Amino acid sequence: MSSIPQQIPVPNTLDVEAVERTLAELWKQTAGYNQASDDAVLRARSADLMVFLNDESLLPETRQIISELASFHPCRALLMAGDRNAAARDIELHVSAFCASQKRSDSKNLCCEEITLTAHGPFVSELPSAAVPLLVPDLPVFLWWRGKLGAEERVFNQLCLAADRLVFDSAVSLNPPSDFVAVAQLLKRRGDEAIVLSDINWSRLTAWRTSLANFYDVEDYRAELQQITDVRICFVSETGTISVVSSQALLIAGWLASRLNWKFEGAVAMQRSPRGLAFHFKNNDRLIELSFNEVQRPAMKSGRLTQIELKTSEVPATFLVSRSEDGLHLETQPTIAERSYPSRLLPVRNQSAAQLLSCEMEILCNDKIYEEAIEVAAAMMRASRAGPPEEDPA
Amino acid sequence: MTATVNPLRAGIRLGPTAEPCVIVIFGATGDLTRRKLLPALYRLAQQHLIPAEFAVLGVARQQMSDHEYRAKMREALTEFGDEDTVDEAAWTSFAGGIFYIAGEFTDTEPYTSVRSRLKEIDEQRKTQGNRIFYLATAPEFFGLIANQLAQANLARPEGRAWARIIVEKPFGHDLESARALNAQFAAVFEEHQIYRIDHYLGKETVQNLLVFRFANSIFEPLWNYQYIDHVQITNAEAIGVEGRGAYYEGAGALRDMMQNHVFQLVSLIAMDPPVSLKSDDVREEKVRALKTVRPIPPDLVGEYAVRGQYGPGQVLGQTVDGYREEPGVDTQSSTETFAVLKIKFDNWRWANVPFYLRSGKRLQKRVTEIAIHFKEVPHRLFTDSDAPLEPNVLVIRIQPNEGITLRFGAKLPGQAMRIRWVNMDFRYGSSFGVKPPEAYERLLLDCMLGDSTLYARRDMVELGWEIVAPILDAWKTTAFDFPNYEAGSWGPPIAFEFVEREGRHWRKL
Repeated sequence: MSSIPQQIPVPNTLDVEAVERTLAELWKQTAGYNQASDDAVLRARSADLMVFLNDESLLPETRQIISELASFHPCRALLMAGDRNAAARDIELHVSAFCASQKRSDSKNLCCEEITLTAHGPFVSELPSAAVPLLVPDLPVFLWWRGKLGAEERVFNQLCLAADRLVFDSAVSLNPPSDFVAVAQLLKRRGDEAIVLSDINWSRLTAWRTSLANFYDVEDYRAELQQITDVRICFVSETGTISVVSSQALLIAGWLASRLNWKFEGAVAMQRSPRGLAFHFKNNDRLIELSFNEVQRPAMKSGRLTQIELKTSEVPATFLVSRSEDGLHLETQPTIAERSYPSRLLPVRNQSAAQLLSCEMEILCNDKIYEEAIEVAAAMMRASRAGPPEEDPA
Repeated sequence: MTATVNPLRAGIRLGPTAEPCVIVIFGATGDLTRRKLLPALYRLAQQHLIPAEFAVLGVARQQMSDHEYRAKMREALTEFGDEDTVDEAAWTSFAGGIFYIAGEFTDTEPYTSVRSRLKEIDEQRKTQGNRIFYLATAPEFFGLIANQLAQANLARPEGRAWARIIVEKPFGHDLESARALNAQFAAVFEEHQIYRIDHYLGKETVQNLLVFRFANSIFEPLWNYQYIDHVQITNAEAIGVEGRGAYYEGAGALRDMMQNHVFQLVSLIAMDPPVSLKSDDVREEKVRALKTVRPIPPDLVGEYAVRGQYGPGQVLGQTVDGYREEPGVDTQSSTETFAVLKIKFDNWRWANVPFYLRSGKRLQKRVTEIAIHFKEVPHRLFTDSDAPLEPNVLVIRIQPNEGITLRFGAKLPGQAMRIRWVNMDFRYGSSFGVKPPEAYERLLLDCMLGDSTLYARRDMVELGWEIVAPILDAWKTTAFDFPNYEAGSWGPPIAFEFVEREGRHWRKL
């Protein structure tokens, strides 16, 4: 990867033509720069990407992510950094171009452009009106919200209106963590305010969901789905005490329950036990206990899943997906009537932020399965907030 | 009651995952298995696209144990796969599902062993009686293996299990042998069980042809005789026969590339929109297009086809031997290494629009492309322009640098009215940085999923042979003057004269 870290200030912030002129000039320079290295420059754009940060210190890291993303999704990136609490400062605008080497196709350097807008204090509210006119017309528009959901609500709503898809990361953007109630509220928006939502954290669960789904591609195992009585979801915790369920654990629980049509029994069904937090679901007359357990894994990030175990009582059968101690592999193991069947060990690589973002930029439509999972996760969160049921004095 | 669909499968973005099955590879130690099949299966497993219950049963002559075969396949992965992506623990887990049987394809015994071994694997790995038989052998064994599988009661599965058979090219040597082979297969397998592989169809850009044509409304209205002057399809290779001289001697460019790969491209360009993307709907339209190809009169073959054979020359900076100097090749060989074919369609869409097809070895560079040449404007308005008016050309590049280019005229900035021809370029690699799957990955997965859209149907194969039959017959008896082109050139002069006499020119590539 080569890059040209030029950040050229544009004096007149709200003049779209001035920005385009500066970019055109920059492209000429970029072409000249690359001629020296015998590589031609290929300017490409397949999307507009707006990024909002309410912490300016995230700018260098975000630029790095976007330059990696460019080789998957060449785009015009509009970075908006707004610090509401800092002393008032009007919008400042810089443009830059960066190039990603195309190892795969040919020697041409794939180059993209980045426009950075920063504002402090009350001027943060003006960022959308400065940024949106700079979108390249007729391309899909993604908004990557790197702030907390619920913060900068006016800016958020204005940018959402301009975007085709909102991308956020439930592992970092929820306050408190696992606040899927807020996400469920967003998904209820209709009409002009309707939001097509993408959760980077959902992409992190693809390997887990696939591994679980793979079990039941075997017809002999599929009947066991209707017999599940126990689900145990383990996730990494720094403290080792069950205080907050990780967003990944809640998402996977919501997904299982929604896909298998389990009915959440409400706050009454929630129980706290010494080994973790448990919720009750029902499938017809069968009771299902779903428990969350915290484990400590120094090699892994807090909140990440380590194991999912589905148990049935009749045969009995266990379907286990677990992540190795070093975090490098996922192993699946079905056991039916105490006999183990073929297991599979697959490498799991922690995908970079750019790779995860890239996955979310491949789709533009609603993800119904995710939305259904969120509804259940939000119901569990509401129950969790309500606390455990009181003992019946009778 | 067991659900017929897996409710956890819905919405997983990786795409469909195969059911548990065993792939039985005949020719399990051969080049194709080592280079393509095993690496593709391993990669599919790593992408979670085939289940843990999946198994491979290799069958070949060489005596060895399961363990030795696994070690051999691990070596192949190092040699031909992407070693950086091989994870040793994951390989060990995958290799646990690889088994091997030694035997002669001509004997009955190996098939009995295959049957009993498959039963064991079904029991151990829950592969549910689903099998794919992959014929990665020399073509003379195709019919024989199919028969033996039937004799061993392996061709017709029981209950809800399925059995499919994948056959590598060449599917026949001419029309007669293709029909005979098809009949042999049809006697033991249903057509829906037979998957005739053409790896060209697994290429991402070939699949994109369907999207390009039928997901965009702007091209379809122009896609006919009213706007298109002619179509050029070039399939050029810089390599020679690469040690396959003995095979190539019996094949030649027409059989090896034109009749299968190039005709697949022709049918994708010439077909009408299918009613759906279901396998048979797509294949039906492709066949319908080929059915309207005007038969080549045996006495006029020279007007429809020319051939060539390379002599010594320089290719990509290296001096190379002529075809007749290649190992395994007759020093007086009459096999063509280059062929040009003109086809015309007797249908409404393509009336009087010739398709010029050329395919050859040891040409200047490797390139496969389809060029749609549009008709010139009806009236020359820009008579003062110093550049001659050129027609618009839409180029679909299959390899390398997959992409689409539209060539059109634009005014040069300045006081004078001067026109320059410029290209509007779309490159796959630039717009989508994601690495496309290898053709064999896609095709193997499709077969496991029961999707035969990208495989050739019986009638398509026979039609291909039917179109080239008069040429093959004529070339057997007519005189040739080989070698007639230098390695590293764009083919023999007659190939240029062939299109120039009709007022057209090959694109400069």
